[in-house]
Amino acid sequence: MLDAGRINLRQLCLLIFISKNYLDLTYLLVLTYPPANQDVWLIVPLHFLFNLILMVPLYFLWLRFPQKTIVECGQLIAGKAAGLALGVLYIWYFIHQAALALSQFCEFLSTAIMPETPFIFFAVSLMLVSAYAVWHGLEVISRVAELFAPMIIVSILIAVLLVSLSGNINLKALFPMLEKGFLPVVYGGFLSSCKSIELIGIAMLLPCLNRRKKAKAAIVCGLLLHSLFFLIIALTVLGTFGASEAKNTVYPFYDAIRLISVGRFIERVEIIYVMMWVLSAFIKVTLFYYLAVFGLSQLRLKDYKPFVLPVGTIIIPLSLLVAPNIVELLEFTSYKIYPWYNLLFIFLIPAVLLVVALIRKKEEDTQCGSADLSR
Amino acid sequence: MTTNNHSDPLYPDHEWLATNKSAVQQLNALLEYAQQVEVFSKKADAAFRAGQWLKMLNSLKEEYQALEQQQYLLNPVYLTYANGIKQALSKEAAVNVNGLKAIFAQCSDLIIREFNLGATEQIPAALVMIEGMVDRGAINESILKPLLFTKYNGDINGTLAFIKANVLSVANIKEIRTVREVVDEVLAGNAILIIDKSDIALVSEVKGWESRSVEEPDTEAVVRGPREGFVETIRTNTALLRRKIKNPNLKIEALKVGEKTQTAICIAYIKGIVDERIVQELKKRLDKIEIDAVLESGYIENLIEDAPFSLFPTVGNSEKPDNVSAKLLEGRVAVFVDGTPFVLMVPYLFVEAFQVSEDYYSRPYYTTFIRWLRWFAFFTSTVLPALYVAITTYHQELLPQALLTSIATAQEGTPFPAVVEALLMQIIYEILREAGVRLPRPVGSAVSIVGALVIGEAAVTAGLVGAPMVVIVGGTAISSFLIPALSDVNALLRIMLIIMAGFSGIYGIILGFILTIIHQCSLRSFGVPYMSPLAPINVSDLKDVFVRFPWWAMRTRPRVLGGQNPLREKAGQKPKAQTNNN
Repeated sequence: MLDAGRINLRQLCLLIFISKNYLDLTYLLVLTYPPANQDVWLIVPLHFLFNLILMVPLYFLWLRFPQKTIVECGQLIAGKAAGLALGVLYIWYFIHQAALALSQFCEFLSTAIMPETPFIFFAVSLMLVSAYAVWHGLEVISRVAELFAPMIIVSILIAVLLVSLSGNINLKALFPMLEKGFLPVVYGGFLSSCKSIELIGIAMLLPCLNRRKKAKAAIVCGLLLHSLFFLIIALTVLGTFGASEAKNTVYPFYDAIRLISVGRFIERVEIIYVMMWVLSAFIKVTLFYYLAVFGLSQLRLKDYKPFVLPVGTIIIPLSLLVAPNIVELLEFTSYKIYPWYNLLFIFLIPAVLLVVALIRKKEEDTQCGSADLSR
Repeated sequence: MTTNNHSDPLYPDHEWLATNKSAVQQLNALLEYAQQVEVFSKKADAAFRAGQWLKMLNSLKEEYQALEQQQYLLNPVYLTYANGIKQALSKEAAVNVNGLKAIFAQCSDLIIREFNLGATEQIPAALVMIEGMVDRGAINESILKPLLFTKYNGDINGTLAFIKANVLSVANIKEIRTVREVVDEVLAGNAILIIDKSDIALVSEVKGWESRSVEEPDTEAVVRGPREGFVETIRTNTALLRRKIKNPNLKIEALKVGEKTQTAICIAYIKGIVDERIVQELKKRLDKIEIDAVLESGYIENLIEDAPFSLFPTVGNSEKPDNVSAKLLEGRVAVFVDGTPFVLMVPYLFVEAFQVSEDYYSRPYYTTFIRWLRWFAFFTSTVLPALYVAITTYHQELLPQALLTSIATAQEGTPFPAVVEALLMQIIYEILREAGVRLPRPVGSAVSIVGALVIGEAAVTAGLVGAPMVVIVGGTAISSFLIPALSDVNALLRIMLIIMAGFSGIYGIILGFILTIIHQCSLRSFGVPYMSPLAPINVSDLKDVFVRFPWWAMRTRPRVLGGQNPLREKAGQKPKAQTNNN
């Protein structure tokens, strides 16, 4: 593997958190997932459990090939041609995810915050900043994530505190519990965890860890941290709007924050929201942008820097293509298509690869692989 | 009259000779000189024959003197010196003295005192020094007087040892053997004793020049803490440091930089605490410097910094010994440069701009509050004008109703859009600030009157700018004074953010913020990440960033600076109240 820079456990954990948290901040798609009533917050713990299960093939694949990302593993396990095809497929997946995240970002800004400004302006400007970060490499991206994470966490907590101080939260909206029974909640948990594209991101980043021992703890911590804030946000939104109204809002958490009014003095604090949201969006887009570029460089080539701008120029028009408007975007990312599309990449392909590796007894040559990485 | 380029044997010729290393060209110079002498003598001869010598006397005399001066350029000692050949001192004092005269031709501040050793022995000797750089009293009392009035026994080798051992009453004496060393020592402000029949010269250290006394520096004023600051003399500065850290592990390595200025530089660090790799890296970078002059530590800073294209400084500086000592004890390396009170320190981290030496002398609670205030002030002073521009231009709905009304009333009728107004006011402020710094003190008050009255009051009354803008710019300016180390970065970032806010509102500000953070995270100072301990987070180092822990709780040195000697105090230093048993 080419030297892509090292990250530590805390950085991995925070990258997972920010990236996963990004969507819940705005779209909170889980509201429309089955059971689609006041019980959606019960999805959160199940979401966490299903995430752990979905992580299993990727994790064991990494244990067998601790120095290889999934792009490289494909070639080792499935042979040159098939592996190359798999690698290309994954790079497409990362580019697609980056474009999707970018278009979610631009849609929000160009509909809710600055309606006069065209979509493409946000896309290009954010991609330029992302390209700058990607060009600097993984170490810089993860350091930036480390700086942004406390800001995002504190902002969310302040926002939630202000919402509750405004007296908008009515927890009675959460009852009756389990109205439709338990099974729809489990199904919703499964679907929502299929949306966790970060799992494949983790798998790409695991070989870059500087200490391998506690990788499991870092993954669990990151997912747990996300689940915690997922729960807080879901409860805030459900408490503010109630299930049926929340389902119809496009930007539930943002709308909840707009309603803040504490003592007729603290009002209109959307600026906090915009800040934390742009920061999260930046991290998410940059992460997948980086993974695409990084994966591309792993197919054959030595350095990733020549790919930064070409990949960026692919992502921008793609972000326009995946979502000509917000309705189509929400349609695509709803529970009907998107989870199954993701499931293929985060679970099925890795599981097949793992099984093949077990059958063909492929394993990484540990002699060259287990160089001492602890600093 | 012969007018050729040698009639004025000043700098260009020196240069010409000094830069040519080939013997052929030296011979050419000699030949040319001979031709000039020939021309001169023929002319003189002709004048005598024609009987006009009385008329020509003055011009002939001038020409002769010019030729005589040029002769210095042909002195063999001078030629070897100028061509960089290592030349041993001659056994004859006269040769050495003439050589020095040639090397220092037209240097009116050189003193060569020629005398005879002892009352009876009559050994020719000379004392060479530069006026104003040596201590006259010491020369007269400790060197010349004993030399002149002692009895010597004639054996010349014995004489030198005898002088060194029994005559000179100077603390630091050393022997040197080459012309180059003599020249360097003379220029360093020492007195050199040259004795006939000896190819060794004696250097007596009698440096003594006018220098500023140690006083409180203007840049880092404190309420509590030592008042002394560095001065322009490097030895005084290193002594000030040594007085703080009385430990032989405080190493002060000397080197010289600057081909023409030969500026003395010292690298100071504490062995056992510092990360040796940082010292090696620093030495490597200093060795690479080839420049003609180093007049201030800023020259060095520019030549060794990690990120020459960055707005952010990656080399720190300080004017106070206590500050430098504290940094050395954390594992940093200091660079002293002769001729400036500003001492460089590496590695330099972003958080250091928010730490002031007084923080560590005061009690931790208020200090912690002040730390928060500094971070807040840094943030506001960079972002506030941009935020104002963004909100008044794009996001008026973000303001509470009452505030919106008062701002709208004030901005009504002002001719410029907010972004232009902000940029104008920002530039006017920078002009005023710069004027305040450069102007002579008595005129300074005029600037403040003009600034406060004309720019502030009158501009608002005349309806050129809105009153809120003046408030914002004023608040920004005052906030930026809280972090003097970053004031230049601050001003530039502010202007960048105003422009970005003018283009795309709050989104522009956030993008600018992200860009700055990416850039900062990508910086390193001598291998240490610039943003540590914030990114990468180093939990044990965070106790000196937003919060200043009490000394009994700051048990470890910053980990990022190597940390090979991490503990700075024993456990259990927390004071305990004594229970009163009476």
